[in-house]
Amino acid sequence: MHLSIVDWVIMVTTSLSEAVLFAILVMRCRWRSFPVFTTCMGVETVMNLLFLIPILNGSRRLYWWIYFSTVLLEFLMQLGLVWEIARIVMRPTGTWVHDARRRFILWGTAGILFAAVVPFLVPITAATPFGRMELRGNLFTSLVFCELIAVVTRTSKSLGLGWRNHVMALSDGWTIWVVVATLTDGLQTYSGLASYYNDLEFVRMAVFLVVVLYWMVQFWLDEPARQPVSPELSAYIQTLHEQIKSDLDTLSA
Amino acid sequence: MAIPFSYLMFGALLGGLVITVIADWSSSRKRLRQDWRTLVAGLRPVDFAGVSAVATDYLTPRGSQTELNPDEIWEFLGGYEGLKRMRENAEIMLALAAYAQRWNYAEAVIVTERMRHDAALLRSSVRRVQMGLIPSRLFRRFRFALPLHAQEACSSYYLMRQRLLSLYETSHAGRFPTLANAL
Repeated sequence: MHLSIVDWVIMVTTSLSEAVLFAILVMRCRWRSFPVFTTCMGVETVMNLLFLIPILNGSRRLYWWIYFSTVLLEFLMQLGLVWEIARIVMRPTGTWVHDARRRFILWGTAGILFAAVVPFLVPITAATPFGRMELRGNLFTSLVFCELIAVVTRTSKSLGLGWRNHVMALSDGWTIWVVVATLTDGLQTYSGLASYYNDLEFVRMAVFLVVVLYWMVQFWLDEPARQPVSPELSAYIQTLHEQIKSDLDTLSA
Repeated sequence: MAIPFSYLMFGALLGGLVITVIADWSSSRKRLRQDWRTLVAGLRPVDFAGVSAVATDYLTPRGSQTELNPDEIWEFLGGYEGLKRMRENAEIMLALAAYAQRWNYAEAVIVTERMRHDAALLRSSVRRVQMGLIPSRLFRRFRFALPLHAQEACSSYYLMRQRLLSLYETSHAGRFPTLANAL
């Protein structure tokens, strides 16, 4: 496998940045609030090391084998990451805000179904079925995350939910990356695996690198202290939610 | 011609999605950065006397419960424009209730939760009114219940306003007059 100097620089810098971000999340105890994000960065660090083996050996076959065997894991972890953002934002007092979880699940499911259909409606420019599958998979993933982050943002705004520094940084970086990934995947769907496929990949990776650097700074810094929710208040809110749910069920009936 | 058309559709779809994500994100961050005065300034005028008349008729039933006819209800709440304003104000009112958590955490958390419940009812009622306004047989059942949903929306807005004003009256008397004036 031949990699250019630029490819090497991007790959090594991204791998190192992800490893450093993982170390920050562990050392600064951010993993307590962001277990999925920390796991994501840990797994990404291990995967980067795994990918080095076929690259150094020049084995294209092994590279693709590792790529396709980890793609589902990566997708599930990213899905978990969006769920983590939603869980933190929509449970400000430890209990899901009324209506928030239902809206997130409902719109999220609709978004996933929509994202599953769109890649099959668009003519994909790729010579092999394997190439078409890869492009469709990438497009599906980007559409899913684009829609899910939109659902979280819109729901939180309409319900007047606040964002604390770390979760806001995570969401901001994620949104920027997802938007860029959706655009590059869209263009790749159009261009297929043509010559500028690699240029678009380069743009996507460069943006991800900037986002990881931003996360490193943000997660190193502490958040302003928040007033703790007392057990009594938490219990009261829980009861309030149950009462609201029961009232609404009665009204709907 | 099938392929270019599909790409055009796809491009429009993708562009629309990306623009929506960026617009939502930017508007959400803008709302978070807004200070108290900017939030209050964002409230749009609603004829509270009319809203109050419709809501009181619904929330506190008296001898004659058919005092207000559907046309009067619609007129008092300012028509569809009035409902839209209420829905937009509800978002700002929620942000204002959440803002009060800075100086009266426990009470503001509870009031905000109650207001979210009211806001959910308001949104759902406005949605039903919107469906009732669609001139199609499919949405006929919403059209029949349109005055009821309009009245529900009005009552939810009325409750949200009262809860917010009471919260500020007890926890930040300094800001209460400005807020009461804006609402």
